[in-house]
Amino acid sequence: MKFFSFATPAQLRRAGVLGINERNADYIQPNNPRSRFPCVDNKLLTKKLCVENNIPTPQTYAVVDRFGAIAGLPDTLLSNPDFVIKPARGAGGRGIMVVNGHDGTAFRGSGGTEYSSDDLKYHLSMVLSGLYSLGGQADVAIVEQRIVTHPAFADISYGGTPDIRIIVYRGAPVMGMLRLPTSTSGGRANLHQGAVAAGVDLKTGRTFGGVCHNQAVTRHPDTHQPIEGFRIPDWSRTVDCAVRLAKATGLGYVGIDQVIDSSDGPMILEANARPGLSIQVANRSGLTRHLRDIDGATVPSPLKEPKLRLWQPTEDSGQIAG
Amino acid sequence: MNVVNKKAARTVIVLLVAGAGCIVARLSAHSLNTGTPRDQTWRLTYEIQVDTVEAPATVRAAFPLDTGNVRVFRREVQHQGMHVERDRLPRGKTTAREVTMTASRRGRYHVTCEFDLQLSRQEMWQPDPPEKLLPEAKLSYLRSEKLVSVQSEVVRDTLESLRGDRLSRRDLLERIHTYCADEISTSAYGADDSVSALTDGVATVPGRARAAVALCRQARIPSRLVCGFVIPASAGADRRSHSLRPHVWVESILDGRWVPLDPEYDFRFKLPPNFIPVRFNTARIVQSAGITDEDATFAVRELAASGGANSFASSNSPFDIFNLRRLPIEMHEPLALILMLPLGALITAFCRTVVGVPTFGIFTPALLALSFVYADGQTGLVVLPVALGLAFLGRRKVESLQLLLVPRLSVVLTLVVVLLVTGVSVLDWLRLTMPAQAVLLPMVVLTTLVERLYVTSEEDGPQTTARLMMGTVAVSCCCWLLLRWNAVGQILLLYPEAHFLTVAALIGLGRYHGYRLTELVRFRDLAPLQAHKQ
Repeated sequence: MKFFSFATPAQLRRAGVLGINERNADYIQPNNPRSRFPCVDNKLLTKKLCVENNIPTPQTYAVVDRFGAIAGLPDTLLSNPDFVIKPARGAGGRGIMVVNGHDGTAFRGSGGTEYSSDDLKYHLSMVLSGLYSLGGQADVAIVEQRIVTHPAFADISYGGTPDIRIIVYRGAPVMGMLRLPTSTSGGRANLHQGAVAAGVDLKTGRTFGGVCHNQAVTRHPDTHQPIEGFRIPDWSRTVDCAVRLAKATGLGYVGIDQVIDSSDGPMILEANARPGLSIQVANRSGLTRHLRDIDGATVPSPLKEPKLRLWQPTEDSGQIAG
Repeated sequence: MNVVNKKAARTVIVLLVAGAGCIVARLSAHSLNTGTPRDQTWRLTYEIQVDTVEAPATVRAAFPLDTGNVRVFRREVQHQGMHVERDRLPRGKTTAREVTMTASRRGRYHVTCEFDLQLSRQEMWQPDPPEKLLPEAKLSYLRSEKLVSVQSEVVRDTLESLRGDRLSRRDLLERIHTYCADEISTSAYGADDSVSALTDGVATVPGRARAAVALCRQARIPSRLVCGFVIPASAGADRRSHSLRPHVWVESILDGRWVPLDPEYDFRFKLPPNFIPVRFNTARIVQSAGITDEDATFAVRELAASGGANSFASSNSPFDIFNLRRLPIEMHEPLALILMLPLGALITAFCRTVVGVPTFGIFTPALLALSFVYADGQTGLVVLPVALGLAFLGRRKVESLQLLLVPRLSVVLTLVVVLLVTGVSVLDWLRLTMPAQAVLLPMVVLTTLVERLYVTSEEDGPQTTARLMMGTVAVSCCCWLLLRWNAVGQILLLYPEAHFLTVAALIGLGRYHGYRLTELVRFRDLAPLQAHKQ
């Protein structure tokens, strides 16, 4: 029975699979200085880094940092056709409210949910109270541009925005995956909830198969379209943004999450100083071998010029800046 | 081995050597002290057999109290089929510590209480000064009782005959003591009450003490009965068991402190070291209700020097700082629990780092397990899931009110508190368990757990919530299995330096870079195909 089958540690080691303990001790602790964590744990600081380094990120409409500012905000937001409210210190996609439109009084969320002004105010106060923040600390709410999913994803995504995660180690992109929302995941690109993850070839930006709940899948469970062979638009810029942001954060081992907007192209959603390991399952390949390749490539410092071995720009992907 | 691993290995070795070294040094220091001739270790045993006639029937057994010469360092109550209520805290010095056991069905029950005492035969002792006596309390030591008739004629006349001109209270007390010691003889068939004792001149030991109490109270000197034991001078070479009868003496307040008077053995103002007080204002060590037949026997046996005993004579040794069993026994249980918490953390760290079990919060499982040990596993197991479930439903309802975080958490806390208390009350009403323990469950931990449970169920779905909850319960159970082991707490009280070894184990775990067991399943598909087939 598959449920009871398991690999031995030796088998996983041979496959170059990175475990959580090894990730924490050998990659995060030595490469991610504690002082740089706020850059990624706080989305406001990440946005600031993006702006400073000319890396595209959703436009910020408002920052709510005190309860007094909540009262008038819903009326102000009526000037924007759509927007997203998210906690600055949120994790795992928690506390994100997407507003697709409004009729002048009521707001319309994804999936047709109706929100009143009071609902918005309540959500904002929850964010400020720290309900969704890491460690439950008081937080700040960010109101920003809503990403309109690139039409190329229409066939392989359901009810939400697909996102792309790229792991960058010591300045070099190591592995990438495309996360596709499903009906099971409630339109969220959260693998725990049943989103599909597809490995991405770093050179070409093409997907090669996918997994859902740790099971290999070839087609999207809702749209039934093939997942394999999908080419992510603007791939070279996507990798470029990831590498540049990783460098700007000062973190040696970091996961960069992006979305591809229909008009603005790749945009940074957030960065993660402790990126998960499901990316290995999506790529059906262990991370350790790639990380060791980079370690052996005599890169003196994560902040200095990376020596890319796993990804080289192709003709159509452009040159990585910085 | 890289630099950090070498450093960690060195630290682990230092901790292991320090822990083992401290324990060995303490053991050898202890073996040197065991020859102290003035200190003895005794085991006092109560064997109580009761036939209950109605339910619930209760048996209350009082514990020996510490004096300047006696220290209780171990206590154990064994029983079958009875519910045990935590011992009462002393209110001032007037109420003894006792254990209350309740039988919910008719039948015969047997209870054994064991106390290991350390007895120093150094000097005579006096009871501790009373805490500030309230007027009502003072009055209670002056009034008549069923067997202590203060206002009777014979008491008044006797006291009148003892009074002299300008007699100080101390002299009067001395005269009362001398009168009772000389003029009243004791007999097993004598009177039990003060009036008959004074009239007949023959009384039981408690009867004679009651006569002394009545005379003191008539003289407006606050007095009380003390029931306790007198440990034999020596157990002899074979250390065999001696049966004991409870002894009764008198304590009176003189110049702001209790002074003892024992007409039986003729001790006044000070008692020998081997007198151990147990209960006040009564001549019974064991009290019961709803019982047809009660048989309580008491025995004492001298033990070979025990690890828990800490020589009174050597209490200035710096090594004794680490022996927490020298502290009053009331502190043993909370201290043992605190000392066991790092073990809970060790188990949690192992489960999360090596096994890969996800839990709600890092220390929630250990704190839950600890509270189950301290409260009562049975009660906790019934009350906790029900309270948690109902509080979760309440939290769902609260969501629709759109409250801010702090007031909302406070509402959940209130819900948890009310549900726990109600649960305990319901269980008591159903006579399923004894009350009071379950309320000691960590309410704040539960409140946070309810909030996390709700947020996770809303944000990550029921599957993740169930996985986290199962992980939390599994790790809590592992912690509970170890922490409920009473001997572990006792060993840690005796050798708290054993936690050097705990820290060493935690450092070892912290430097474990291998795969978690759950990852062997999670990443099984990544293993090379040919290797997988092997």
